[in-house]
Amino acid sequence: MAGLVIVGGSYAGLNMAQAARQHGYGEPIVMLTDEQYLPYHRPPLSKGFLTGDSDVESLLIKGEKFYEDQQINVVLGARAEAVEREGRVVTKRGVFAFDALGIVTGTRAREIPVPGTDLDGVVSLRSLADAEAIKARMDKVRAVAIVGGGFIGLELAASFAKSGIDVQIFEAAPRVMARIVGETISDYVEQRFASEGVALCCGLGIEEIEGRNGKVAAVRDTKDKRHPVDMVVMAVGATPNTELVEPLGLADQFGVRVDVNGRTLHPGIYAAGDCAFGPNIFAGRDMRLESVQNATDQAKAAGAAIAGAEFVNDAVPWFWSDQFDMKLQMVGFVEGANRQVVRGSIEDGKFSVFHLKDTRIVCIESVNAVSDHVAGRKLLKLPHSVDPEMLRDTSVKLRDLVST
Amino acid sequence: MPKIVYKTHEGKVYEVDVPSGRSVMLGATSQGVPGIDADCGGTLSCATCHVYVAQEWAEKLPPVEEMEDELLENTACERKSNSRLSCQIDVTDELDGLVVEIPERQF
Repeated sequence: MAGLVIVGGSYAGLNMAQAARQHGYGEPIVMLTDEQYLPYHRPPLSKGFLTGDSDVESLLIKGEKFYEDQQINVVLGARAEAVEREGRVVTKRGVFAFDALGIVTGTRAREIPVPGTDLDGVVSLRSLADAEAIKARMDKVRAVAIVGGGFIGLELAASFAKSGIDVQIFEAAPRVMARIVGETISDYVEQRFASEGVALCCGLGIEEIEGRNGKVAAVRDTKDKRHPVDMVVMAVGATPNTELVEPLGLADQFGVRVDVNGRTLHPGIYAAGDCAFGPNIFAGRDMRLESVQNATDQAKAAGAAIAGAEFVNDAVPWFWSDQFDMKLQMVGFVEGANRQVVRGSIEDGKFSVFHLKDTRIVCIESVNAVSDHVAGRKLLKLPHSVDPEMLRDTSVKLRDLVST
Repeated sequence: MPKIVYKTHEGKVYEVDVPSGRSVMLGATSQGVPGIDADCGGTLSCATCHVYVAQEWAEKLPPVEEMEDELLENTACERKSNSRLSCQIDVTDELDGLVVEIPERQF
């Protein structure tokens, strides 16, 4: 038997392999990654890794011993170049035959058509190698322009500001993190960044990156103002890596199409994580999610299916982001909500915004209110109802307020 | 190097040498000790590295801080008086021989 070949080595790849083994898959498992590291935690790359709190070894999700014990053969530096319908993956490090194939290729930083993105000093952050390159520049850099006010842009901005670098953020939308959070959180975060001395311009994009001797010298914004900087971070979202299975007709502009078990249209080929577009049971519609939680849970379902077992991925989507001393945690989706209640104190920087559809909580956005978030992760899964006014009373625990 | 003893729910025992300064969570994930998921990588976001610390060790550990306390309120397995998140226990020479039990599940 040729076994399972997994293309991609991050959360989804690791969890797919692990779940397949847990459910009794006994064939060989090969994980092909184009990187030089075993699967590692990505969220710290924009935070602790840059400010010096974590090193490469502490980033690894599992140590070498795990892969030996689980008989998962990780091939580093093996970028997959083609998938052949007959059941082979072609890489520079050899051809790998498969019975089952897992596509967990993730995303890459989205590019925007702005002149100057090829200059030295224009960077983006997806991988550990990217983070190392940014870290190596940080000593010399005095002023940075960050294009994009999403999670990665804001996290990087906070890390740079902490290191004494001047930071200016350009966000073309009217508010930060507009795709992910509601207005209350955006407002709060914008004020927090302003108080840390970060220049944050919403509703303002960049027109051009200007260079001198091949290096970044300035950015020119969409109002034609010039800002001298020596580094530019492009943080304007991500594009799913679907090219490998496009020739097989398994992907479109939304991502690699999958069902609830991570099956693509081609028998034996599965996909999970940031690159996969498929049904989300909680949301009741198809979507592509970029998150650790989704990659992990989707891959567990796919790994189970590969082993011939069933694992229903009905997880409530959750996300987190750490910026300065703010621990932002989101569970559920704001869409469909018709009412909002704030629990806790915005002034003290410890609160949650509850989004409700009538008496049902559909989303909780927390700032330094961990217990609301974790309670929400259990609660939102269940049918429940709550008196919205009661949510304001922080002396009563969330789970005691809600009847399920 | 301090030795940390992990006991799984099934009764398997793993003795792992963990360098001082690393967390008890990392000691497990780096050496293939099963049952400590640590989905968030130690950023106090997930509560999937829950352990029960052997009673004789419980009071030798630094106290539970607020965020850890809130996360422990919502672990998959029951919170007990000796519950900790293993990502919040940094290994020191004084913790040589620390025994932790891993709960049945983390999510």
